[in-house]
Amino acid sequence: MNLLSLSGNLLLTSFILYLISTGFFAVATSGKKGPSRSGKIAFSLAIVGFAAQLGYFFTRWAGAGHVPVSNLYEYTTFFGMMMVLGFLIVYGIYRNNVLGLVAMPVALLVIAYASMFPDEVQPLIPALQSVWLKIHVTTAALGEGILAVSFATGLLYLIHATDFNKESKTRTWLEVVMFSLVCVVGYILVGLLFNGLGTNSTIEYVAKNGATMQHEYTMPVLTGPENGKIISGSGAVIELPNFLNANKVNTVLWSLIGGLVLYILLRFVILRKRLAESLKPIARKIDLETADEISYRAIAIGLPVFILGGLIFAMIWAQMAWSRYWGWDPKEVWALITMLFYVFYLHMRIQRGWIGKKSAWLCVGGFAVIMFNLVFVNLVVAGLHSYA
Amino acid sequence: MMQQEYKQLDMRYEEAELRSKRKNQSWIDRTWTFFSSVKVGLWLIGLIIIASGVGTIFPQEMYIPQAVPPEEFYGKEYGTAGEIYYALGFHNLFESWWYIGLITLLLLSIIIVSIDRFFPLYRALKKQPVIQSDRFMGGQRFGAEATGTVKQIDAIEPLLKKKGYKIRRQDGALLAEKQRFGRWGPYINHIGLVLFFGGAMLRIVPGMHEDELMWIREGETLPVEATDNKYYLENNSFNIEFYDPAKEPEKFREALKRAGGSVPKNYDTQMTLYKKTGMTEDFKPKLEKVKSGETAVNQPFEFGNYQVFQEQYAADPEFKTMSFNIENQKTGKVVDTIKVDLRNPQETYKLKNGYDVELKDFLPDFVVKDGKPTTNSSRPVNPAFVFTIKSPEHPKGERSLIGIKLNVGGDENQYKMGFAGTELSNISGVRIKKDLTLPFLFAGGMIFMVGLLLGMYWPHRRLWLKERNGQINIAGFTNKNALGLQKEVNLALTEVGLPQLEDRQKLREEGEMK
Ligand code: HEM
Repeated sequence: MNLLSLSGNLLLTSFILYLISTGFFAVATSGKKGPSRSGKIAFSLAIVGFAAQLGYFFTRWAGAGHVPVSNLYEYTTFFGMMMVLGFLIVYGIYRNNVLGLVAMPVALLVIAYASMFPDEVQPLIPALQSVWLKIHVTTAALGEGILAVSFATGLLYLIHATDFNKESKTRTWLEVVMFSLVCVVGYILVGLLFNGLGTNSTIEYVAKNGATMQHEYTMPVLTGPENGKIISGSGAVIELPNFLNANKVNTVLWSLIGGLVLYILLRFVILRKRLAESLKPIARKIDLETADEISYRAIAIGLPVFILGGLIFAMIWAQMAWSRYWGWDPKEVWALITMLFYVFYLHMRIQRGWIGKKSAWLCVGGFAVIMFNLVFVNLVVAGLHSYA
Repeated sequence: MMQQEYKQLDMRYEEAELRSKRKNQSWIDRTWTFFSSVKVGLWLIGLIIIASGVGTIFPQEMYIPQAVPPEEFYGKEYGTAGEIYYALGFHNLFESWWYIGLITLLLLSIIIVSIDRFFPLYRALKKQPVIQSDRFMGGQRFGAEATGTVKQIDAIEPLLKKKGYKIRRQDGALLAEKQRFGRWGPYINHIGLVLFFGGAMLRIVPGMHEDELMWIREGETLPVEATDNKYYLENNSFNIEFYDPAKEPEKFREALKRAGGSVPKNYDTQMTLYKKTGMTEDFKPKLEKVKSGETAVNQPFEFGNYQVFQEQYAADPEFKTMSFNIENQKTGKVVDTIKVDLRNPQETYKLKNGYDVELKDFLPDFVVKDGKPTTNSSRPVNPAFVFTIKSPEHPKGERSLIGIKLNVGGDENQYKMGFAGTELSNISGVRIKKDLTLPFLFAGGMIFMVGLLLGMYWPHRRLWLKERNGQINIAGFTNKNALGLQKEVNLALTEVGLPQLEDRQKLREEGEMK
C-alpha cells in the first residue's frame, strides 16, 4: 500500500470514529446530569479519530512531498480537522457533552463537504513553494476551527433561550440556519447520488472574450450557458447569461433541491416539528451562562490565532511571493472582514453589554462569514487564492 | 442577604471619571466625546465591513484584463449591475477617498478612545485602596460572606502568593492581585494598530517607497528608474520550467491532466547588477559590476534597500536574431550567411567575394495595412525585412521582401535570401521594490499581537478580603475567564475554611428565570 492510499484510509477511519464519537455524545447527553462514562468514551473516540486524521495529514504530506493544504479538498479537510481540535481544546476545559453533540456533526459536515472536491495530489506552482504557505494556512485554519466552536455554543444558546411556541424572529432565523446546514447535507447526498448514476454532460459555449469554453456537468443540467451546444449528455432547461457560471448555479440549485427534500422529510414526516425545536431538549442541558461563556472564550482564544495566521503570516508570505503584503484580493478582504467582525463582537460585548442572545447571534454570524470565505470566495469570486 | 441587593458595578474603568463623560462640554470636548464613543467606533467598523464586502462582489479595477477599458468592462461583463458598480466607484473602492476616510476616522477614534480611558484607568488602578467599601465589594460579580477571623485571612496569604498573586495588607484586610498588565492589552494593541496604519501611510513620504515593473529581455541591460538610474540590471538569462506530465511522478498525473495547459514548476532570472560610475565621452553610462545572482518567485534578489522580485514573464518569447543564407537560385549554392541582430540591425552586411546585403527596411511586427506592408509595434514578434543583394552580376542589387512564411519578389532574382535559423529571447518581468515603511508595519504588527495576547490570555484577577466584627467579606474580580478565577481562588478559600465565591450574576439571573 502506498502512502497516499494509506492516507485516504486513515481519513476514512477518522471520519467513522468521529461518527461513533458523536453517537456516544448523544448517549451521554440523553442520560441524567453529572459525569458519565459515555461522555468519556465519546471524548476518547474523538481524540483517537483526531490522531487518525493527523495520520492522514502526515502520510499525505509524505506522499505528496508538500504540506497538504494546497487545494480545496486538502484545505477543507484540514479545516474540519482544526474544528475538531478546537472542540477538543474547549472540551478539555469545560467537559461539556452537549457541545460535542453539536460541534462534532458540524466538523463531520465540513469533512464530508471536502470529499466532494477532486482529491488527487497536485504539484505546486512557484508561488506556493514557500514555508510560509504551511505556516499561514495551518495557523489560519486552526484559528477558524477554534472560532467555529463559538458557533456551536451560540447555536445551543439560541435554541435553549427560544420559546418555540411563540412566533419570533429568533425562531424564524434559527430555522434558516438549520435549513442552510441541511442544504450542505443535501449537496453531499445529491453529489454522491449523481456520481453513482454517472449523469455527466458537456456543453460548449462561447465566452464573453470570444473563446470557446466547455462546462462539464456531473449533475443533470438545469441551467446552461447562452447558446450552448450539447457535446454529450443532456441539454439545459434554462439558459443563463454568460457572466453567471451556469455549471455552478446548477450545482447550487441541486443542493437547494436536495436540501429542501431533506428538510421537508425531517420537518413534516420524521420529526414533525421545527428542526431547531427538536434540538431543544439537548440544548436545555447546557445552561445559558456556560454557553455564553464558552462562546466568548472560544473567540478570545481563537481570534489572536486567526489574526496571526490569516492576516500577519499571510502578509509576510504575500510580501515574499508577490512583493506586496496586501493586495485587496477577495480572499484577503474576507479575512479582514472576519477579523473586524469578531472585533465588533468583542467590543459590543464588553463595551455595550451585548451578552446572551445578541452575542450568540454574532457567533452564528461570524461562522457564516468564515464559511462564506471558504465556500463562496473560493468557488464564485475568483482571485489569486482561487484553487478551483 | 447580599445577593438580593446586588447591583453589579461597572468595573471597566474602576469608576474613574472619563473626560468624555463630563458635563458642560466645549466643542473640543464634544468632538472628543464623539470620537471616544465606542458606539461611533463600532459604527465605523460596521461600515468598513459592509463596504469591504461590497468591494469583492466584482473584481477591482487592478484585477481586470488590461486590454479592456474599465468603463466598458463592467457593463459588458456583468450587465446593469456592473454598470451601477462602476458608476458608484466600487471598482476602485479601496483607494476611494471615502473608504480611506472611514479608515482614518477609525484610527482617530481608536487613538482618542484609548487616551480617554487609559489615564483614568491607570490612576485608578495605581492608587487603589486595600480596604474597599461594602458597596464596592457587594457590587462585584463574585463574592461571599461568612463568619471568620483575621487569622483565616493571614492563612490564605501564602496560598495566594503561591498562585502568583501580589498581596497588600492593611489593618487585617487583604488585596490579592495578579496580571494587572493584562488590562493594558487593549491599549497596547490599539497602539500597535495605529502604528501599523501610520506606517502604511508613510508611503506617501518621498523616498520611503519605490515600485517599478521592469521588462528585461535576455541579454539586455537597463537602467533601474526606481534607483534614479544609479543602478543597471542585466538579464543574463530567463529560465522557465513546466511540469511535464510524462516526467512527473505518477501521483501528479491526474491533477496535471485536469489542469489542462502547462503548469509552471519554476521560473527565475539570472541577473547582474551594475552601478553607474559616470559617463563615457559618447554619453554612454560607465558601468561597474556589483554582483550577480538570481531572482525567483519567493526568493527576491536583493541589493541595498531594494529587492528584485520575479513577477511575470512574456507569454511568447521575442526573436533575438535571425540568420539568412544568400543563395544562388540557379546553382543552389550558398554564397554566405548573415545574422541580423533584431535589436540592433546593421544597414549593410559585407559578404565574401564582394557580395553585399543592404537592409532597406525592417518591420519588427509585420502586417499589411491598406495593401502596404507596415509594422504594428516595435516589438520583434513577426519580423520582416526588405533586403537588396548586391552581387558581381547585379551591382545595383536585387530586392526582396522576406519574413516568416513570406518571400516576395525573389522568384526572378538570381540571388535570394533563405532562412537559416533564429535565436529567441525570453522577456522577464521583474518588480523592483524599495519599502522603508516595512519596519514600521512589522513593529506595529508585533505590538498589536503582543497587546492582543496580553489582553486575551492574561486576565486581570483580584480578590479582596476584610474582617469586621467576626464577619468576613470576600469579593473577587476578573475581566475574563470567570471559571478560571473561581477554580484558582476557591481552592485556597476552602483550605482556610472560608466559603467559595458565588457568581452573583448567575444567581440573580436564575432567580429571575424562576
Ligand atoms: C480594528 C480595530 C480594532 C481592534 C482590532 C481592536 C481590538 C481590541 C481588543 C482585542 C480589545 C480587547 C477586547 C476584550 O478584552 O474582549 C479592545 C478593547 C477595547 N477597544 Fe478596541 N479595537 C479596535 C477598534 C476600536 C475602536 C474603533 C474603539 C472605539 C471607538 C475601540 C475601543 C475599545 C475599548 C474602549 C476597549 C476596552 C478597553 C479596556 O478594556 O480597558 N476599539 N480592542
